[in-house]
Amino acid sequence: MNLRLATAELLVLSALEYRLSHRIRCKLLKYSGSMTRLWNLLHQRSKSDEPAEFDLLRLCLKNKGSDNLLSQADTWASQGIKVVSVVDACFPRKLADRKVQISLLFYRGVDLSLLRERCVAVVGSRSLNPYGREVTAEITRQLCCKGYCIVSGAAEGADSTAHKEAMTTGGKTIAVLGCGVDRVYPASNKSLLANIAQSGLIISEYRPGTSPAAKNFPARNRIIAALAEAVIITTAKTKSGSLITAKLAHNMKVPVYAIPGSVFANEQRGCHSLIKEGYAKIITDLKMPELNTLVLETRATNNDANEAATYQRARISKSSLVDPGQVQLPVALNQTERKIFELLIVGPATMVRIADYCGLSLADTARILTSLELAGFMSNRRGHYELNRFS
Amino acid sequence: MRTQKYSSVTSCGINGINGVLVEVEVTVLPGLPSFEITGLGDSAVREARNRVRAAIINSGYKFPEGRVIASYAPAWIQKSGTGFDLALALAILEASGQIVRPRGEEPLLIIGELGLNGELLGIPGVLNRILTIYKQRKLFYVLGPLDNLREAELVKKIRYFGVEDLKSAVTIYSGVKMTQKRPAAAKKKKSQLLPRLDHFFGQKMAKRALTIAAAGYHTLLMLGSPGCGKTSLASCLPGLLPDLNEDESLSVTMIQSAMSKGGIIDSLVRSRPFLAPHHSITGAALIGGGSPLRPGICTAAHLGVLFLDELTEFPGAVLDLLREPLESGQIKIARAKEFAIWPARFLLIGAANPCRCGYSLEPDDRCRCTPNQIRKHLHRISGPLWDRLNLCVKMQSLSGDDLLKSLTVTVGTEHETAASQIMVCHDIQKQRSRELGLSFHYNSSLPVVDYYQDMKIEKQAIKLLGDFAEKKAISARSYHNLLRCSRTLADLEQSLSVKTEHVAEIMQYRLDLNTLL
Repeated sequence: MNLRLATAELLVLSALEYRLSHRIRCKLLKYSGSMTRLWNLLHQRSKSDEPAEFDLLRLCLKNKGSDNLLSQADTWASQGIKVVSVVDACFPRKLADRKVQISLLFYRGVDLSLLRERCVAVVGSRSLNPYGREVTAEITRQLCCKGYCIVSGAAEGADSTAHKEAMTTGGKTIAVLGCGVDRVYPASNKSLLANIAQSGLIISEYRPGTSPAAKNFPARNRIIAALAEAVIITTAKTKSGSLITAKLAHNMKVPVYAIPGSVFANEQRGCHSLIKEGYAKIITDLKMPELNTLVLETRATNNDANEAATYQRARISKSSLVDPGQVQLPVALNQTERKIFELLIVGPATMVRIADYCGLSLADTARILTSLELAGFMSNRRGHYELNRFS
Repeated sequence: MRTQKYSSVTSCGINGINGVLVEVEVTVLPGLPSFEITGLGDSAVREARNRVRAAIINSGYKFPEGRVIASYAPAWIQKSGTGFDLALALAILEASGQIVRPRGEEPLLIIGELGLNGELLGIPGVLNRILTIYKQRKLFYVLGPLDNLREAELVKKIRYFGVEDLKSAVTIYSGVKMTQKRPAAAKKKKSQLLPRLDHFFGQKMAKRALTIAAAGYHTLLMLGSPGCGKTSLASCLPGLLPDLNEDESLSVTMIQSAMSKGGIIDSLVRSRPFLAPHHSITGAALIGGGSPLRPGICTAAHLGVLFLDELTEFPGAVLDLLREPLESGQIKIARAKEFAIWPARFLLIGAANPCRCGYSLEPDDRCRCTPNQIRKHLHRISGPLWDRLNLCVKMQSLSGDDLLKSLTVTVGTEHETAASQIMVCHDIQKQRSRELGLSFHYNSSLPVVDYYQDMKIEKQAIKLLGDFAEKKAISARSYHNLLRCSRTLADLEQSLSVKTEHVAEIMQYRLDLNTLL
């Protein structure tokens, strides 16, 4: 029954998808009442009172052939892909908004009820430095423990980190894709998307099979912004795609938060400019009193003690991490190593710069850096050394 | 019964880089006038008919009437080039009874190209031919072009008669003694000013990596922004590397002689070859190929430097051809008809941009390449080849301050220090390989498993490397290469054993793709 229904829905959709604007799609769907009924109407003779676009759709259906559509829809349905339209009761109202304009939503995963959860978007840049990774993971943990569902874009870097962290913490997560929900993009996220399909939700406005075109991604950002009660930008360079999300959210009157960093760090420039230009509020404490003001009521199932316990559990699984609020210089450092830390706290530096700063030979610097790297204090990224954890 | 009109002389051709003895037979048969050459010759061999006919007539001899047939034996080996002209001309003259080699004269090897006026022209590969007969110990007298006299005299045990034209060649052939003319003294080449390390300001890390690479012949990849000095630094290598010794020099000269296109070699090549092919190179040009088989750039770079600028722009299939020679120091090419083994122990230096735009290593945010784009860019070089790149250095552009300083270069001792360090390091390696009884001597090709004890690696150094290997999944080959590079570093600092500090320093020059994304 379910499969047949899904098939019918997908079929209509193929016809609907044919270059119809959001307004017309809504008109047609509202006229028919449901997608199944729309499909049936298309197979009947034209009536005098129906919208004029019906004839166009009939022509399109004839061209494509009902059988072809059926077999394609079967494939999609067998992959567990479902669709919901603006006239369905479970369609999230937020997405039908004038600024989002979504009439059809494809999804894969547990079920749509996740969309009714209280969602917070955690997004950031694709290339992460240790600071960005740590801060994204930490804020995700905090939010999950408060019972929020994490919405993100399943891109490389910050998005993936947010999804992963949400799942390891045992929280809920929604991935909004810029391609068909059956596609895996980026390819490195294959297992991540499979996991989300198991325990979370993957949604997209694009029909299955749509390839990840560059123009789709800014468009998908509006869904992220619309779904969330708040948008948190963890890292962003100047001209980052995350800034589009932030500005869209700002226009939709969704509160935007940005995480600051060192003024030397390129990875945080975008966040800083958001804060400066008034698009975003600053987050100065990961315990997030800012966000707490946003929380109007605590969820009944999540009292404070419960929350703390969940958080501790998540923490223990990450026991190797030091609490970012309390990073101290490792005790066993000697004078030179201390000096290297001093330099790196300001920002990443090359080996030659470190050698010059400490007055060491290149060979000696290399030796010390190796020992610090092996001890896990710092890592090399694109020829620059940076601290793994920031104070 | 008519007298047999037949003659046979010995000549030598080139197959790859080795000489092949060829018997040039000529017979004049009755029939309509014609002139044919048999024996799998290429166009240059077939065109010899016109050159030889013209040279014979223009030198005042008679080209025989009747059907002239020349055969190059063994007939199944492909022959190429113009080196058989003189032998063919002399054989025709003898077969037609115009000249005769007196009985009791030593057998001669005859090589050289003829001009239409009977002039004898120099040919490439004379040294290879002479070394071949020297090794076979069959012939000790060679008749060839005067131009090649100096090259031929590099082999002391062989008597070479250098002549200018067909007439003088006939004189020698007929057993008349002549005083040996000397070719005009070669114009002294202006001693080329090689680029020096201290011509280039900054980039200390790259200079250090270059020194280590040159000292132990370890492959090096220089990654950096456009214009940061990758190519300039690589061009310092010829000046940094020590000269070739006698044996090495002979084999390099031989390769250069065989591959030279008409250039005359007048002394042993002492400086190491430095080859920087354009990235449009084909596979056959890189490792050798064609029919007949000819060696490629890799062999030409034997004992020298193969510099591949813009490494990521090379076709992937072509780059992957380097995998075997990098391991074995040899190129083995098998074709249906032929098989060849050529030496190819070269120092591979690669230079590339770290991403498509080129600026991902810069501290500012000029680069907007996504990790995926960077991965795509770097994956133009296959994983197995990455695994064979031992050292890697990441270079940034000079800052504005340094740019100003770089304009006023003061010549320092940096270059000489590095060069002498490298020389000492080479000597240490030679000494070690002599003690171990190895035929090659660079640390980069030391079999780690067999000579682990002789590498004298301290226990703590091994422990450090073990910790490192555990953290980053590294292949057995990279593990061994880390050991080899550390050994080189210890040699550079003239330390008897490999200490923790050597391993620790080498680790900073290790290539880790993940750090580039």
